[in-house]
Amino acid sequence: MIYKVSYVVIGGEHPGAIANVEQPPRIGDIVALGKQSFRIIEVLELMPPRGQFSFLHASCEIIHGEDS
Amino acid sequence: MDLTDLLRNVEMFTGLTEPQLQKLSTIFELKEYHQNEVLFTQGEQGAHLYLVKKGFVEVIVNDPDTSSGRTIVNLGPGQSVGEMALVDQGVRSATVRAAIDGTVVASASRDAFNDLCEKDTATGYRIMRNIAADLSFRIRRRRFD
Repeated sequence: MIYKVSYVVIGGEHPGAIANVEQPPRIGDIVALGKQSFRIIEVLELMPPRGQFSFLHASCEIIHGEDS
Repeated sequence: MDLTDLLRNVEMFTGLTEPQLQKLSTIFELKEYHQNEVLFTQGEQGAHLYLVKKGFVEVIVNDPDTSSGRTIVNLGPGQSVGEMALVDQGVRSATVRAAIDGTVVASASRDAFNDLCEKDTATGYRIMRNIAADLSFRIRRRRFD
């Protein structure tokens, strides 16, 4: 299964990201979205799966002082 | 990961057979970009489709009031940009640039892409249906913005 994830950053100015990943996002995971890293705080199904694709939404929060 | 592996992991090409994917891979070329290097600019004519293989690209929309750009989303591995130009042949609706060094992007020309889809209508139908589904995904994600 390929997980197409829409990452939305809560607070701040980061516009979020969309990426395909091999493992489903989980609450507490740290993800690098471009130049910064974020912590996942919520995961929801965005659309029903189609073919080998699963469509997820992940809310993220900024990790203060740990920009990468 | 070769080009066929990349295409297999792109939603736009889901449902295609291995021979279809291999034929499709012949029209794509890979290029590595430095941070802030521009793939294309808002307002120019679009003639290529792009697929992110590695890294992230920033999608930037210009604000006509301030003449400055605002990043509306970052697109990572497996994501496509520029497909609207394949469908409507209009100008680029945003500027896209590499967000980080070492971003690798595959591109195909609209002419080569359309030629392949018209010669192999089963491939063309599947791809256009998948493009519609991707647009649906992008619309649905907006309710979380």
